[in-house]
Amino acid sequence: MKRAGNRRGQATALTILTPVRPRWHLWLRAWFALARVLPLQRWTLLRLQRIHFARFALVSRLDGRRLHSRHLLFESNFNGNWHSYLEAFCQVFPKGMWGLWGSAWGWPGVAPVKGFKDWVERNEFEASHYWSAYPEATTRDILAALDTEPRIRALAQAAPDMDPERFEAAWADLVSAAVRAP
Amino acid sequence: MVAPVLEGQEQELEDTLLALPAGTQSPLEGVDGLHFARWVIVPHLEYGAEPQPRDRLERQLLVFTCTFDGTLDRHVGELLAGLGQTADDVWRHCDGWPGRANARAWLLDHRVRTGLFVAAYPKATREEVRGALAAREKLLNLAEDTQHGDPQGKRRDFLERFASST
Amino acid sequence: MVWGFGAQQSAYMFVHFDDGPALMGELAGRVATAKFLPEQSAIVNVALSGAGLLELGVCRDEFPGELMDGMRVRAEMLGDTGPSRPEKWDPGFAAAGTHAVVTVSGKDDQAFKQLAAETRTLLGPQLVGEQAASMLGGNREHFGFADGLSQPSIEGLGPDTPGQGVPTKKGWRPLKAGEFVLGYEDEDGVRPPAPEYPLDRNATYMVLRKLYQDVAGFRRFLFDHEGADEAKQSELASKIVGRRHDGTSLLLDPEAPEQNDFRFGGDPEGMRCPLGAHVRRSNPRDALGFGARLSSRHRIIRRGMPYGEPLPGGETVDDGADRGLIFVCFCASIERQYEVVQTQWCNDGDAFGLGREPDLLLGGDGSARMTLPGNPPRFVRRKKPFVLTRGGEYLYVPSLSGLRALAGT
Repeated sequence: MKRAGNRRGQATALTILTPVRPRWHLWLRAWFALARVLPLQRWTLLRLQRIHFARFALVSRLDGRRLHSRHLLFESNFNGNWHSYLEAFCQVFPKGMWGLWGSAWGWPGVAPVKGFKDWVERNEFEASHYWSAYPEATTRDILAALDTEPRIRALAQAAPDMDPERFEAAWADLVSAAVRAP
Repeated sequence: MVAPVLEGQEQELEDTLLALPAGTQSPLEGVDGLHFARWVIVPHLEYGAEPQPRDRLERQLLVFTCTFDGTLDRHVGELLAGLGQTADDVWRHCDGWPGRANARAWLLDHRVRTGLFVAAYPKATREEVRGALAAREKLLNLAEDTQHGDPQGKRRDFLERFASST
Repeated sequence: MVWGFGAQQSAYMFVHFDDGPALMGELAGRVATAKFLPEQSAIVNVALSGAGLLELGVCRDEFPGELMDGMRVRAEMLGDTGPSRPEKWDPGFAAAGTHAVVTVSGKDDQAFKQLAAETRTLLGPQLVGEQAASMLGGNREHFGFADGLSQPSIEGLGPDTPGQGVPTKKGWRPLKAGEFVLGYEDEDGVRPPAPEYPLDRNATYMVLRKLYQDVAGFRRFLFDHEGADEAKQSELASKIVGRRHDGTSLLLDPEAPEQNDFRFGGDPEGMRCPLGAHVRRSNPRDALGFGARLSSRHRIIRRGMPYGEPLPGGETVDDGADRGLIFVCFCASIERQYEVVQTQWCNDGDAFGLGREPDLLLGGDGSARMTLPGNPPRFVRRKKPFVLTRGGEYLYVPSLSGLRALAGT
């Protein structure tokens, strides 16, 4: 309800900028490099199946000059409301949160969730314009669709040569697979 | 990317952005290969906690983030081509904007490198996503419509709708 | 109000203040308290709307935004659109500007009628509307299903029945009281946000809704899909609800003694209890993944009651009578608990991998499809809703000391 500018159909934007404690930027850079090679942390994040895309970026210069602290910019495109998204993160991804946002001056930790939500609220900025290429689709819709589409093509190719019984069975399998959430 | 907003122009910039039509009427709709995008104004920095040395922004910041297909180089070209006049309408409020005809270098210059990128569907292009969504919806509607029909009818209806996808 | 009272009848009396504090003072002498509850045959309770609280002089900022906004303002977000929109609501039920709802409930017919009459006299001209409700036989609701069987187990309050709390590795544990009552620790390990003392403890928030049920429409739907075969009709209805008519779970043997002791983990594709079935949506247990961590903060206590005369059995033509459910639930945060269940689990299907499919029984405001998993899956479609919202409000239920404070004593 609060941040109408951050919603577009099923998608919600979250943009956070936080000051990074001294030397923690080195830890973050190492973390980023590691995560590029080992997909572990991303995998946990993605298991929630609510994020389309998200990114972390370390900013050294703002407004053309170095500030006292580097800043961590986070932007995410996700589904569902702000409250349940942040709660879900605290519930299932606490270590990752510490690893990334633990770098921030004033980091409150993930428990209680209320403290974390208040901290996010203080550090987030509302989008003045937010756009999505497919606003009515959730991450799950898309994952299901990307899984289904090649199956449709496969059946379309094989169907002309199938007898009705075989087609019926293949059709049942296709619809079952299409309905199943990935 | 992040760029400072010229002093005195903050309100006009915000008004410009808020006035942009939403959804399919948005100027971003015309940018090829774009999945998500946003403009965010950062008016000040939030202070963390003691003993953090205080930082103060002298000017507000305009942040633009987006997720796109293909290379950065190609994307910047698509962005400028797709936005057209809007690129000038928005970014002329930022320091040093050279006009959209010469903006490529400026945009790249103000870019912040991504440290960690998380993608639920890293390989699918925008067209692939849209195409897959439409195909699945068509399939489920067909499944509902034909569920009581005979196998021959089902096969005929299926090929009628999906044969061209081979 | 958190204790189950076992009422057979209720009257919801809608109040517009002439002298709010005086009325609160009068009611403070009469409202039910937990200590004396088991002895009483009829009780009265009071809950206040955001408008009512302002009339009593509280500071707006102390209370949650959704309470102060009121349900009407949030109707679109809640899915009360189309035929369920506020413009179509019953003007006699919690009309705009209602300050308080006084609920009289009774186990015994005579005691109830007497207390209701006394309460009406007490309220005098401040009583601006009333809604009656009464239990139907067999604890059923108007579609014919046994209701109210599944309620959260709360630490320190009442028995801990397997299946009512949070699923754990070994079994179940009760939920923290702070999920439902202000002033106690909640599942987040802290006391939930609350107004200033003494309104901050032993109080709760209440969601009140009048839900009209199109019984004839539901019966016709079953005929359209299964013909006159009663067994098949019953099976389809059970799939939509997620329990059989007698309340037994689709995941358990009908003879099993503990009909709430089940999880959905053993039925991940919804072959036995469909992914979008009503009970699976309103209390997903472990169905959202990650144990029950994604559902344990969104539980509600339900204390509703049917209203209106039943439609005679077998009748598929609507008689124009008003009947349905007076939905009442309690929680410590309307936004985090009730509204998440309503908007994300009932009106939408994404949490269950069902896209935009709403709860076929009571979600959505128009035509809707439900996927019944299988190979191949089956699709059933309703042309219009079976349940319409006819009114509602968000309310704050004070403790006895809170009530006295609001009376100014």
